[in-house]
Formats: sequence, C-alpha cells, structure tokens
Amino acid sequence: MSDEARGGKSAAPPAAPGAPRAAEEPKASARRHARWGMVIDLGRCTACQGCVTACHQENNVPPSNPELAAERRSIRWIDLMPVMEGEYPHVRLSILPVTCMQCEKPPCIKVCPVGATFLSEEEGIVGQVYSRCIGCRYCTNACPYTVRQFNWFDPNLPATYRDGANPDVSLRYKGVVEKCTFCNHRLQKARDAAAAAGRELLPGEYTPACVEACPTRAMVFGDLADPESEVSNLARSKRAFRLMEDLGTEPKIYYLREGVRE
Amino acid sequence: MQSTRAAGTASLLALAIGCEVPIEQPIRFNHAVHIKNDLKCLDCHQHFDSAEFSGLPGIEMCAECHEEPMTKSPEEVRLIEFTKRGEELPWQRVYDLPEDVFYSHRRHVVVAKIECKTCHGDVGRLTEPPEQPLVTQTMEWCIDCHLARGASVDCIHCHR
Amino acid sequence: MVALGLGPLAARALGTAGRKVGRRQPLVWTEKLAPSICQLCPSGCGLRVRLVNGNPVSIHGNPLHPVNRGGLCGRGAAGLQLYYDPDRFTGPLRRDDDLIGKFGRTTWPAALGDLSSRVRYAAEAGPGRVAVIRGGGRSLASELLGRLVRAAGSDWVIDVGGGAGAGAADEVLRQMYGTTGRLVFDLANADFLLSIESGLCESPTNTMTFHRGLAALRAAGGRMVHAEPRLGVTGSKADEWLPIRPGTAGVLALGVAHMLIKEGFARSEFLATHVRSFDDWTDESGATQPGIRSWILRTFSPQRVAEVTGVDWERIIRVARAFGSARRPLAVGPVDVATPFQTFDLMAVHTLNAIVGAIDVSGGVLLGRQPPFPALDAPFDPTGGPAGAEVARGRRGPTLDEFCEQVLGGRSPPITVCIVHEADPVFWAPNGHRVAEALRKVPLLVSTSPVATDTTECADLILPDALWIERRSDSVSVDADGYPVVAMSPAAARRRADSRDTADVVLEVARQAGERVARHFPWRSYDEVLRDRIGAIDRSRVGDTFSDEHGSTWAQLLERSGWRSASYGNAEELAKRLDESGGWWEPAYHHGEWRRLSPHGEHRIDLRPVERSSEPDALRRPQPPFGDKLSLYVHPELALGVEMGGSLPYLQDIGSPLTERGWETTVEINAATALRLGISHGDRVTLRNDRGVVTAVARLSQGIRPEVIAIHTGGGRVRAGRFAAGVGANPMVLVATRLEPGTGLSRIEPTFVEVRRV
Repeated sequence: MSDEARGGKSAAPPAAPGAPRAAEEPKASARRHARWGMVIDLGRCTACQGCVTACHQENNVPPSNPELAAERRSIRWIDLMPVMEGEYPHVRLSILPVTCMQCEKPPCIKVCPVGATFLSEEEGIVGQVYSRCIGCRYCTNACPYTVRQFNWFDPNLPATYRDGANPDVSLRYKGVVEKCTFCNHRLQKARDAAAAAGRELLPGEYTPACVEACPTRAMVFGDLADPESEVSNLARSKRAFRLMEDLGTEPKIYYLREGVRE
Repeated sequence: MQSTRAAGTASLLALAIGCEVPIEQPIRFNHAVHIKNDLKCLDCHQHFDSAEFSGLPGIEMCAECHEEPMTKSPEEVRLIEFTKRGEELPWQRVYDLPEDVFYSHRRHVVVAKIECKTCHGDVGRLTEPPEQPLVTQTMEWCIDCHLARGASVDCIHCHR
Repeated sequence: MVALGLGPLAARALGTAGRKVGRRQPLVWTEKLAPSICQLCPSGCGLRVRLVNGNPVSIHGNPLHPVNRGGLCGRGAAGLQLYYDPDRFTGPLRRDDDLIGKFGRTTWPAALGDLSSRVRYAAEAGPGRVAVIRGGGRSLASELLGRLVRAAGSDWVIDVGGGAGAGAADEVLRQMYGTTGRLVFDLANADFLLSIESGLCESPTNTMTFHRGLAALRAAGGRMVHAEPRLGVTGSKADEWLPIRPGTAGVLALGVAHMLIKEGFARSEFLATHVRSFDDWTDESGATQPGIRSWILRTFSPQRVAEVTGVDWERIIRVARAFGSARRPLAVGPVDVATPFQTFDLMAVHTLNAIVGAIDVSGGVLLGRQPPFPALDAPFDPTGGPAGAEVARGRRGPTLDEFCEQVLGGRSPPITVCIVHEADPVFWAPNGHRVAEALRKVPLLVSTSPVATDTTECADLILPDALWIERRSDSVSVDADGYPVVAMSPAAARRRADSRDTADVVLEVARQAGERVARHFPWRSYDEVLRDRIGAIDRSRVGDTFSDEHGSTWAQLLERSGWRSASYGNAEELAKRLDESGGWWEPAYHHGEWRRLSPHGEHRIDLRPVERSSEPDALRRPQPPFGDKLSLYVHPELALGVEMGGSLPYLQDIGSPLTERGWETTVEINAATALRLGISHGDRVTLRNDRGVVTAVARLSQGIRPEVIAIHTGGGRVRAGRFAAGVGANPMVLVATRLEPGTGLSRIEPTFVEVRRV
C-alpha cells in the first residue's frame, strides 16, 4: 500500500473542503424541532397485544424464559398494564398499553452518571447509548413508569434466531439498560429518504412498529410540535389524559378515556 | 453540545486495547485499475442511495464484466473460479462500527454530498486491498467533522 | 473532565468499541416486502414479510387485506419464530419400530409411497377406514385432506378447531336456522352489545374480526354489557360486568328475553314474518301447541334467573330494558370452543337475537356468504360418489369422541389410516389421554406438523408441512362482515427445512392410491387447484381484488347498487392481481341472504330447539361449593390458543395479559376467597379433583366470583421444543366431558376443585 494512499489517515477532520459547502446545505439544526408523540385511544384498544410482539420483533427484544419471567426480568419495551377499580361485584377493568412516555422532562436522564441517556433536542425522543451505559440502573429506579429494562444476561438467542434479527437495530448485551426508542431507526430511515428526495418528512412516513401493527387503530402517532397534526388534535380532546401528570414529567404519550363522549 | 462532547470522550473509556491483525481479502482486488477504466465507486458499491449500507458488489455484478477473462491477472482467474461456482466472495470488513452505532451512506453521500474518500481514504488509488483502515475513525473525529459542517450532533441520529 | 489524559485512548478506532453479541453488518443489502397469509388462526390475515438478504426479519400486516387492514394481533409475528425455530422438523420422519416418540429420518418418496399404499388398501377394503383430524385453518390443504378421506369412501372428517365446544355453532345453524355455513356477528354496526361469556377478545380464533368489530362498536359510542364469572379482557371493554355463575349463560339470555317479552320490547313484526313457533300455534289436528314465548314467560322470571345466575334481579331488569330500547341490539354467546358451555347456551342467545330482530340486519347476526366455488371437501353425492360414501346432507360431521369410540371400542370398520393436520388434539381435548390412546391404536397415524407437539408423539409418520411464509398459501374466510374473502399468496421466503406443502402431499398420495381415489383428483399440483379457483372467481363476475380502503369503499358502493368495475378482465389478469394485492373479495353483504337459501320459499328461524336442548337441570341451581372446593372456570387466552407453535417465546411472553409475567399458568381467585384459604398473590397453588391435579400461580382479583377459580388453557405442553415444554399446566386434565343428548357433542361438565397453597 502506498503512503500516498494512506494520506487520508488522520484523526483530524477533513475540515477545509467541506466547510464552505456546509453553508449552502440546509443545516439540520435549522429544521423545526419535532416533538414525536402518541395518542392511545382506550376505547379502541382491545388488548390484543399486537403492539407488543410487533415491537419485540422490530427491536430485537431478547426472548424471555420461565426463570427470567419469575424474577420479573423479562424485557418488554411495551406492555399491557391492567388497572382494576372497585370491589367485587362492582368492578371496572381497564387495560393500558404502557411504553416509554418520552417525557419532555425525563427524570431518568438527570440521574445517569455517564450521559448514556439523553433527550434528543431535535426529535424529542429519549434515547439510550448502550455502549456508554455502565448498568448502574439509576435510571430504571428514577423512571416513575418503570419502563426501563435492564439486561441481566446476554440474550440467549438460538443461532437460527440471529438470521431473523432486524439489522436496523443493535442487539443489546448483559449489563445495559434499554427501553422504547419510538423505533427511532425508522425515523432515521424516513428522514434519509425524504432528504434524498429533497423534501421535508411528510406526516405518516414515520410510524413506530407498534402503531403500524395496531389492528384497531387505537394508536395514533405524529408530531406534537405541529399544532395541526392528528396527535395534537387528539391530545387536546376532553378524553385525553397522561399518566402521573402531577409529577411534571410531561409525557408525550396521551391516553383517551374509554366510554366517555366528547 | 458541551455535554455531548464530554460524554463522547468519556465513552472512549470503554475502549479495549485491540491488536491490529492485517485484514486479508479473498482476492487481491485492484481498485486503481477499475477506476482507471472509468468506473466510479458507486458503480459497484450500489446501495449508497437506497440504504444505510453502501454494500459490496455481489459475484453476479463481477460476472457482468468478468464472465470471460479480460486480463492475464492470476487474481482474475481466481475471481472467475468463484463466478463459475456462483459462490459469493467472502469479503472481509475493513471499516467496522460498534454494535450500537449506525452510519447512513445515503445521508452522507446523497444528502450531504460527502466524498467517499473523506471517510474511507483514497481507496481508489490502491492497487491492492488495504490491510488496515486508511482512516482511523473515532467518535471525536465524527463529531469534529459534524461541527465543522454545521451538521447535527444529536446522539439520536447515530446511536440506537 | 475525564477527557483529560485520554489522548492515546481517544485515538482508538470506533470499530473496536462495544461488545459484539451478534448483529451482523451485512456486506450486501437487498430488501423487499413479500405478501403472505397468516395461518395461525382462521382469520387468514394478510401479511407482508420483510426480507433482508433473503432472510425474513419481520412480519407485518398487509394494508390491502380487508380482514386486518395492515394490523396484526399479538400472534402475527410468531410465524417468524416458527420459521427460525431451532427445533423444527428438518424433514420427513418415521417412528422407529415399537418405540413411541423415537423417530428416524426417512425420504419423501418412501414416506409418500407408504402412505399411498395404506390409503389405497383402506379404500379397497371398504368404507370408513381413513380419517383426518383438522384444526381450524381454512386453506386448500385442509379441504384436499377432507376430499382424500371422502374419495377413500370414508366420512371421518373431524374438525376439532381448538377444543371441546367444536360443532355447537354448526348445530345452532342446522337446528334453528335450517342451513349450514358460518354465523358472523356484525359487531361494528350494533349499538348495544350484550356479551354473554362470549370470549370475543380471548378467543384464539377469528381474532382480527372480533377485535376490529369490538373497537368499531366502542369507537362509535356503542354500549356493552358483559356477563362472565371472571372479568377478563372482553369484560374490560364493557360498560358493565355481570358476574354470572359458570354454566348459566343460556339462563341469563332467556331471563333477558323474558323481560323483553313482558315489557313489550319484542319486535313482533320480525317474529311474525321470520320466526317459527314463537307464539302458540295450532297443529293439524286443531290442538293448540305452546310456543316458546309462553315457555320463556313461564320459566325464566327475573327472580328465578337471579337465583340461578347469581346476579341481582334489578340488574337483569335494567340490562334487559337497555338492551330492548337500543336501536340495534346484538347478543353474542360463547364464540370460543375451549370454554365450557352447552349448545343450549348458544341457542338461548340466538333466541334473544330473534326476539329483538337482530338477525340478518345491519348490526345483527349474519350468515357468511360463500365464495363462488364449491368447497372441495363437501360430501360427495351418494349416487355419484365412491361406494360406501353415504353421507346424509345436513348431518353434522363426526366428533373426536366418536372417533375414539370407534377405535378404542374396536368397532367395525376399523380406521386404519389417520392424518392429523394443523391440530394437536392430545393437548387440547379434555380427554387427551384417551385421544392419545386411540391415535396410537390406529395402524398408521400421520402428522403434518412442522414442530413437535403432544400429538406428533403418537405419530408413525411425520410429514412436515412448509410454513405459510415459505410456501404458496391460501385462505378462504367469510368472517369479516360476512363477505367472502379469498386470500392467495406466493411463497415469501426460502425454505429452511426439507418440508412439503400438505396440499401437494395429498395430491401425490391420491395419485398413487389407485383409480378409486385418484379419479377425484384431476389436478397435478396445488398451483393447478388454485388456477381452477381463480377461473371460478373470474367467471363469477362479482367482487374484486384487494385494494386500499378508498378503493374498497368505492367498490362496495358499486357492488351494492349492482355495478362493478373490476381491476381485471380475465383469469390471467386476475392471477397477476392476486399475487400483487394478496387476494380477492366480494365486498357487499346483501341482507336477506339466507332467506333466499331456503329450498321451501320463505325461510324461518325455528325456536323450538332451544326448549328441546334445555335439560331439566338447566334451572337447577348448582350446589354452592363449600370448604375449599371452588368451581373451575376454564377460558382461553388469545396468544396461547393456537394449535401450532403456541410454544414460541413471543407467545409465551404475552400469554396471560392480566398478569405481569408470562411463561406460567396463572389462576384467578377472588381476593376474599384467597384470604380465607390463606393464599397470597403470587403463591403457587394446587388444584385437585378426582381426575387430576395441576399446579399454577395464584393471582388475586376483585373481578371474579368468590366461589370460582379461573384458569387459562395453553400451558403444560409435554412436547413443545426447547422453549415451552413443561411450562405451565394444562387444566384439561381436570375437566370431565359428557355427550350432550340433543346433539351428541361432547361438552365440558361443571367441575369443582380443591385449592391448596403449595
């Protein structure tokens, strides 16, 4: 190999040639910041759990087993939470799909000692950098919704399952915390496709796997920063509520009550 | 921004000391001679505009030109053996990323119009396959370039 | 901060950071979405399989398919894990001599040759010697298997489709409606749903139709009352829950009917024109015969019904009034066959629907329209059929119990060949050990299962079927709003095992099994049969291939007003459009459909069977349990109810949606009862009676009757691959069955168990 060819080897950025052009390019930071959010209509949700398995396969969520399940160590990025109110025989049962609330004021990021979790300024998504996570689990304790999951073991995947892993998402390993990312990889791909075509991302081009799979259309997804979007409209509905609103976490997941008329 | 950079450097704590074993490729592919014959990088690394991966050419693509020998190169003879068997070349990866880092060729090549050699070095001038990466890619190196060009340094775009 | 002093480390390349646990960064990249059809339940949802470099990496819903419109239930993705299941059969297997459950590899020609010669021998020896046991799937493979049995001169086509209650809906249709086919509930257009032990959300069959219908009903502001001993997922959708005693569904329905009649809510015009024997009638001799009306008024007073069902009579009256004053009321009884109910319960619910005229109207009970081609497994005309195939039309098909009786009772003619397809009766039937005994006694038992199940243990030959995503697949369904939906898809992914399509296996066996059988199979391949169907669809000049929702609404409007603009002009174009869109449907239901089916002009629903089917003890109050004996209520769970692959991690994980953990069988106990029995939340408990014992984890609940303990099915598989063998417990070992006098169907008896903390 010639030394000349090695000329590119450097830890320094190839600054000069790119710099002037960058001014012409639309800067990413110039883009209006999105606030991705979700509205779940409990009137439509029938607890079929389509969202749960769709999420598991999309995000390479490691399969559980009886031992993990008994210790409550199964990993689920989205799960159903049954809420039973009243005493026999006058009882009401609601079942809520619960995922990371993608809080605007996430308590989890404040406690991370290594900056492994963050609130994306541009997309409003709470992300997790696995290679930075040291597994202290402060964040799992800080999360009032208990939606952060710790990998107690390496994923015990049969070799055959690896062929079926989603190549858009990493496989996590023992000792890191993981959680719902709003299928951020789908956002990245959708943004790329839109930018390559020289246009803005259109509503509906980015949908997380759970929303895509929902057979009853109970889940609606979109940009809460856009006051005209369907999610924004639904979030203003009288039926809308958020979980533990009084904590001031400002979740971006809204629920619509069942059996209440507008 | 400050915190991003500080944390970025902190993550490097996790790096292990690896030894650099020379990477051997199945055939001694000559990039320079292909470029000289008017081929562009993107003629063979075709997925750059449709996927995150730019991709390596499959054996079928090689066979489009090399079904019959075009030169007297012994490497071409070996290539044609693969072609005849319909077997893919077991290329070895030169540039690798950590498990949780995703890089989009489409975004960099199509949208931002970054040249291949910015990140890969001047591979087009090589007459033999590189045994080591021509460019040492670190997170700091990524971030510096992003800052210089005014590109986003939001973690969400690469870590997932 | 820490960055200081990290200079040398900071220069390390990215590529060595992080740990590798297996994500491969591919060097080549091809990606596509290929259509397919889910076969995990009879809904037959349209799929799109995402393939990266030829490997399926995820399964999504097909947005064009009218049944699921791009959605999937919790089971949809399980096909992926079945595809990659490390314990899948890799090819055809033959049982080693005299060793049950030990198999050796064989070849397809040898296995098919063996099966063909046995079928041929059986067909030539006389009628009634070949049997097939099928699950709920409605695909060509199932139909062709049924046809093979009929062609071999036998009537043993046994549809088990999930459990003990199979066949009850057919009995209702046959006895009350005087027809055959499938009943469909137009949930989406009803405005008051009275759901009595319906299990709409827990049912593992027709999931998509029920869930989407229920969501549409609730989204449109429809009200719902649910009656069941426990408050489960279906109950969570209701405005009110009526905790009835187990086994009293029919009594509650007729209690409501009583109030409707008494308070003038009965729709007399509908009853007068479409219903037989509601009012008292005069027979040929001039004598007055009592109608169902007087029987209901006499027998099902609210006070009496309150006593039997355990629900306050005020509540019954209030619900009846709300139901009667709704514009489009609809009552739905048990839809799932795994729950214990009597045919009487179902008939009572249909009587209730007849009284409010909720039949054959928007928001009522519909009869699914059949597709424009005959079912290939219909009984042959005795005059033109093979010798011995004497099948009376309208008679119900044989049951698993009758099969066991025939085999174990040594009755003649002996069944010498039995094929089990998409079914696991040893696991699902209440009397599994008896079924296993019978299956082992059959000289040649063949299973088409791609994975090990409790039933494959008994097999002599295993001919693994290809999975739906790796073969051409098809499905016929009439459950979505009563429209015929015919889905067809080419293979989406490459095969991972040396498997064969069961449809092709049947055709090959038929070809080799001698002229007597072969003459009924004019096709050389599965593709040829499908081509026939495509031709029939094209000639029917109705319906269209799937399109998006806007296109479908347009097509619906056109169909309803007698117009049509199909996307194809001939069979060839139709075939091409089918591959692209995933299927064909006729998107209009014409109300009044089944009255035209009647051979004698005007069609009337007969209510007499409900009185006939009510046994004298229907109104006898079940003995209140005392001590630690609780009444056992068995119910299905959506994820665990599948015949094949219920053992997969995805499904085990979401097994019981009301508990925080999967991978276990849980029982629900009323919190007050648990306190009395010294049982805490999460304790392991044993359920014991004279038939057996099971161990499960207790979940305390306010949403269950105090004298009841509820347990879900789907746990306790003995053979289920590495993930789920031995996980959970099978409650079927606790329940007894008996033959119902009016129908001959096998029903689960009321069961009581002693509950103890381990």
